[in-house]
Amino acid sequence: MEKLTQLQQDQLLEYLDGNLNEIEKKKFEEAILKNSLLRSRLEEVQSIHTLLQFSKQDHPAKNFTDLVMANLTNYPAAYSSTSVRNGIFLLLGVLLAVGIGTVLLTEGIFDNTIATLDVGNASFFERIGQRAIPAIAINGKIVVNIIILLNLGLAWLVLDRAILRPLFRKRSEQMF
Amino acid sequence: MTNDPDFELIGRILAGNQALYAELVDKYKRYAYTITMRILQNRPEAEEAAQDTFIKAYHHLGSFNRTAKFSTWLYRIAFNTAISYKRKPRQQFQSIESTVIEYSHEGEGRLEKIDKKKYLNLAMSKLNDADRTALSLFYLQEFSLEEISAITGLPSNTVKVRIHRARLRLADELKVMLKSEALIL
Repeated sequence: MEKLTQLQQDQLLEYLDGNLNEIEKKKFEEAILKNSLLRSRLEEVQSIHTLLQFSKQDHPAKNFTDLVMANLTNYPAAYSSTSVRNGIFLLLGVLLAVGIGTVLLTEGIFDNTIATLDVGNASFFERIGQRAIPAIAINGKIVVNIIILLNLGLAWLVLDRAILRPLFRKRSEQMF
Repeated sequence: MTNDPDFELIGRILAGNQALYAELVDKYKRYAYTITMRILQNRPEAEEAAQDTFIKAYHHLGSFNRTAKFSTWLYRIAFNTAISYKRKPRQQFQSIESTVIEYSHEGEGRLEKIDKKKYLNLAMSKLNDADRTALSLFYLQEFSLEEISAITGLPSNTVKVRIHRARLRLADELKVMLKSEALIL
């Protein structure tokens, strides 16, 4: 089956929008008479064109202006420029903590820090007839590593939520 | 710099006369709401996004550098606000009052009008946000391609092509819908 070219379809829309000059218009009207496919496509697109031409603006609530004026001062703090600055300070603080932790780790400060956590009171467990819970050895190096990892995750979150997102939102609003 | 009659009013608002902002809200609320409504297709959300638009615009009025018309700047904020609302996780519900486009075509039968409106709304909902907004603004006949381009952030040639393609796609969608409806009947 024969198909319409993109050029023909574009010309059809230019015709509907009244953008063709007299010569082009006449030529296109002659083409419509000869080409039944173009004629039926014109009818389809014309019905859409007519429907859209009668589209109206939507109407907001009657108290719209009053609501806006009442909320003018309730501007969310998240949009304010200070939140980006606070985010940067928070990020620097978190990165500083990560830096200090890493330096202390490389210096070997926590290499021999092993604490024993004895949660089970042996005499108490003997009295109630249960086996005592063995003491747990905690390695300081592992704990600091976990803290550093958690801080890196926090830094990533702060960078995304408190710095980049507000910054991009602000840029999109201030395009002009 | 554009010679916009709103600039004088903006100057007075920036000088501290906050109450005058109500004049700007009254003047542009319909178009701002129409834009948010076309994107969100949900009345309560569109209303909230439109209000948010005016509140944001008020707080950034000082940074509006007057190289474009105030309305274009405002509608661009409305467009971005509605897009960010759409990206927010939300409950998917369609308000019973939600209608994308209203028509008043004298002389048409009421039922036929409702049917056409219904199918057009369905077909419109299949377009992407930028295409739907561009097409709606184009047919509201108040905006040039350059203004639509500034609002949607797309080059004006792209806007023109998108409006063309969107209309062709709408015609195809409507044809498929009416064909399947005829098969059911």
